[in-house]
Amino acid sequence: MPRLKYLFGIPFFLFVLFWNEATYAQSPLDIKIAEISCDEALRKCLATISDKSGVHFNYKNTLVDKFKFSIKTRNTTLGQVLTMLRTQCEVDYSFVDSTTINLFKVKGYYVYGTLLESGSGERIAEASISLNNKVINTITDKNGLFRIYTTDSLLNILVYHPKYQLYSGESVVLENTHLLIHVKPIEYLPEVSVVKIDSAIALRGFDEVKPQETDMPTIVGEADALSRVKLLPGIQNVTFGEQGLVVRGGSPDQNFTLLDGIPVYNTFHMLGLFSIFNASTINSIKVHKDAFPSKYSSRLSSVIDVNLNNGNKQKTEFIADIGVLSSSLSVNGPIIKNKLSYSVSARRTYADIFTQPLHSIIYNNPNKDDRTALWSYDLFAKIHYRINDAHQVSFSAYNGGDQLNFITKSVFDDLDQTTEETKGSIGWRNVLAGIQYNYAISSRLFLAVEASSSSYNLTFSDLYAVTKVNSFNSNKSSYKNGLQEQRVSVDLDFVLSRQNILKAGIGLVNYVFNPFERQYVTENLVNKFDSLLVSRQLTSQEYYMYAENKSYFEGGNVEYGFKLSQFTAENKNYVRIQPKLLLMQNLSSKQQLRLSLSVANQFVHLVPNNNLGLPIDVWLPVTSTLQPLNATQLSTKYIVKYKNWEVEAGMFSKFYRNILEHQNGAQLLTDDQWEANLSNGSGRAYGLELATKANYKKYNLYLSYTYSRSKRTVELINDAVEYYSKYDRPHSLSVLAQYRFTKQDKFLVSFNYASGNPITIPTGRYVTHLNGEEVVVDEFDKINNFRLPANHHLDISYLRERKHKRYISNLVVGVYNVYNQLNPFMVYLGLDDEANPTLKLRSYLPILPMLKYSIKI
Amino acid sequence: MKYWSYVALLILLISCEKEIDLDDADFTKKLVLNTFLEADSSFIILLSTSVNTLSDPLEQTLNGEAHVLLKIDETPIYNNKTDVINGTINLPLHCLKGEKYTLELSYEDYATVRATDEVPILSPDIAIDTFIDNGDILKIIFTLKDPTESNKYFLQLKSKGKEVNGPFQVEATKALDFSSTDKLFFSNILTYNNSSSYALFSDELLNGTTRQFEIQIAKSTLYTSGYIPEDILLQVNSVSETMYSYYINLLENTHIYGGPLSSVSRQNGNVEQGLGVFCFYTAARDSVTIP
Repeated sequence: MPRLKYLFGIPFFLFVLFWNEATYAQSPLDIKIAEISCDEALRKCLATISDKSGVHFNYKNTLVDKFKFSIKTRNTTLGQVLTMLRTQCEVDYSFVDSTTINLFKVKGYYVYGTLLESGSGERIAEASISLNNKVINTITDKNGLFRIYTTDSLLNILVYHPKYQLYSGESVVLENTHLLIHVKPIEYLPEVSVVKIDSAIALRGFDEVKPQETDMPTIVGEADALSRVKLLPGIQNVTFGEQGLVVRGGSPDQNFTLLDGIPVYNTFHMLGLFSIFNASTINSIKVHKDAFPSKYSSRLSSVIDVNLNNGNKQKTEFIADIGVLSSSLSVNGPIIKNKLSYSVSARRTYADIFTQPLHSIIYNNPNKDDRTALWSYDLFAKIHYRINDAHQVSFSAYNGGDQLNFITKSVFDDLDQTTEETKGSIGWRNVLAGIQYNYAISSRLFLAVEASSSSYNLTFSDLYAVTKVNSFNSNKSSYKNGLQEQRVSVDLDFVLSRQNILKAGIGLVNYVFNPFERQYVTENLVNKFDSLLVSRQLTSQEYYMYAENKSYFEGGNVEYGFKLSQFTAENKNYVRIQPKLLLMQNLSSKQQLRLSLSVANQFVHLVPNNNLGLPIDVWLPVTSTLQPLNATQLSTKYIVKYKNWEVEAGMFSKFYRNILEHQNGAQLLTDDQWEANLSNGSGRAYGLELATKANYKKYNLYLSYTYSRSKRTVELINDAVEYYSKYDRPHSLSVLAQYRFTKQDKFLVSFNYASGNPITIPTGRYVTHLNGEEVVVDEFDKINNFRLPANHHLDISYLRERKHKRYISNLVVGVYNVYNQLNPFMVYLGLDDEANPTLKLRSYLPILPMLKYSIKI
Repeated sequence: MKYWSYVALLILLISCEKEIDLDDADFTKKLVLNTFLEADSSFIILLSTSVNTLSDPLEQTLNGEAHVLLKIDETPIYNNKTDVINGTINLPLHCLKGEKYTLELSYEDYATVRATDEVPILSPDIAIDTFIDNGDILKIIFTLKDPTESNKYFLQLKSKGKEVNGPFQVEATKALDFSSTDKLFFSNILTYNNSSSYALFSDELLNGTTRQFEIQIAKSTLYTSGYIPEDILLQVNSVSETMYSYYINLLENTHIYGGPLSSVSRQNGNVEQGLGVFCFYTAARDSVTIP
């Protein structure tokens, strides 16, 4: 009986086998198509396919109307055609019966991934991720995280980051797969290794500058990381030679400059010649002008987020710079290989050192001494510890400052043997330190805890002394101003779903302000008076919480969120909510439209100073009488790429409330009631920003133009009539052109033009009497009543990079301000050759050579 | 390398300067009053005008006719056209303690100016107690009795003597520089400067009491070539609030103008549609003869 069972079983097996085979052979997928050619709208191609195969397609018009299909082949099958259809148009199919096919959208899914540095495991931000040879799909965030929507299970992944070797690999993925991609750093970046990727316009609402990848001429060749930032549309210097940046008509204190998340209060050296950020130390700079990250929306104009290098975890590197104005040394490397790294850099200018012998040669007069010394220094340090893939700790610190000293001494050949001496100094110091802990709780949840401290101090002193045979008189005054702040924050990045990434956090900032400490000492042979005026110390706290969500949709995303802040000023609490909305939509892979609306409040500010004299920065908080500064901004930007060109055009409009100005007739910080000298007002700024960049063979071009106006209205100033603010510079043009002779030799030309900004000069003069003596008084009827001449300069430079056996060298030679334009540094009332009063303009940067040589080991 | 650094720095250190044009379209000429009147003295108004920024205001002299309206508490007491001679207007009136005067003045096509101030009633009692000749230094100790009401003071020191011009001697009064360690004088900038012949101070530290003060005079400032000092005059004026704030503002403007701490400062006079000040004071005086 068992054998009988086998006899029945074999035919049954054969029956089933052949029945299945027969069924398969009759599948519509096997329908032969001798020849098909179609290169037009999908709808028409489907009709062609129907004609050739005899099948009928059911579909929604909305599904097929947006696709174009291209096929040209012979001796194929319907199945192969449908596979191409799915690949090209993301349209899937199912059979209703042997002659009817339903078409529907391919079901896609999100794949998550983290990009890590090979060996060190450090997360890599701002890398471009492309799938299946398409244009850039996404960019990694600050945690190295990326998410990509795909309809394929087999992915060809391409990772591009200028500092890492190009990664290309295949992976089989499923929905919610989390990829870990490791890439290797580039040891030396020759020109040829830069892979050109046909990139779509990235969906991000900020500008990013990578100082080490950007070549541009700077003042006397200084490696200034912010020099490229100044070229962005809407960003200008305050005035030629002054400190700070003006972003869309806002004052310099409205920019929130952060170093690894720690606020920097003095961002420029040498009276604004170049920034404190040495390019060799800085990893990246993100400039937010629209809808700032909610966490940092406590300034009105911009957030400039600067990140230090973590240090190489594989080997030690030395970078040494020798320049005309300064020299610097940067060292970074591993302490524990692949785990713990450090990065340290130091820079000092040496104009003061070299001027001493120079001075002795030029002014070889024992009876007269006249010296000015200006010097700056900065020290950066960072330690980064990657405990494991999930935990990282870093410590960042900066100490920097500027010092301006001036001494004059005259010995007169008279009977009294009179000696007249003046000494003065202004010093700025900024010290900051912070620790940051990052914890990847899961592939979807990231925690960051930060604690930092920042202090800023300004000192000013002035001495005048006359010594005679029988007498001695001296008057000395000094002034100090400063602030310290400590901040703690906890932030969470949470990937909520395929479409949503939520950021949220809380924080506390403690401020201690010392508005002024003023000392007067007057001394003669008989008496010495010594008085000290110390203003009351102000302590303020800012508590905040924020939440913002980034929602992705097809071809775009929207960021929306808020920050809720409470600021305590003396006995008053200010509670402010700061919403933001940023919409980015790719109109195509070559066009993008951005819209943003945001509200920001500012609780600390620089005391405005509209004088003709030297710049001085005094930071103070809002008080019970001075309300927090407020700005509402609406902006839009359109970006289009065409072949090698990328063009962006944007408009912005800002409305200010509680802007601070000095009242007419008020002195700057001469008494403890300083806030009584300030007035709140309103303001507005608006403008147009255009920028374009192009790459063609050996040429690179960047061009930006900004038209912007900045106006204010303050009740007690200029008769409450609207006036142009000190930061109003209508026209600004920057051009940067680069030509590559060879892979390592470049020629750069840059031109900058900016309209002059308004300053205050006396409108008239008159005589009054003091103790019976006639005194000439300047009449200040209006502020900002005189516009400085426009400033502009053309710079050229040659950059040479060479790879030697043991090191890489870089040379920058060039000329700054080629046609020796006398740009205004300050304007003052002086006398002409015939002793008549005249308005004089002083300029400090004529034509100058650029020279910088650096080596990297 | 070093050579190039020197060359670069040399260029850097050469600051360039040029004259630039000033469009004075915003400038409007205004009348300037300089009227500092002592109680019970004649009404003498010094009148001038402002000039544009690049002109010298010391070179002007006004002559002509002005229309002067003077009121006490809004009641006109003088309303006439009056001669302006070398920038001076003399009114046939005396200002009285405690009265509040309002002056309205028109001159040519200038905007009519208007100013109001009140003559202080009280003046301090002062008396020089001691005069000490201490070698190079002379010391004066004086007593000041402060009235109980709030007061602002302007202290002046002068020497009275004779200017010697060949065989001739002419009586002369000169401002005399002094210094003091008393903290009362720390209320404004110039009093720290020992070359000052005057001091402004508030009576906040006196608070209606009687206090002694010591001031020092360097003999070298008193005995100068061609001058024979005879008396030292001490004068303490009780000044109106207007005059006090005008002087304080003036001192700050003239002292720190142009420095890094300076800011735009409009001189805060009380003349509407014009410039300068219209103010009053009462004076107390004492003197000591130099031995």
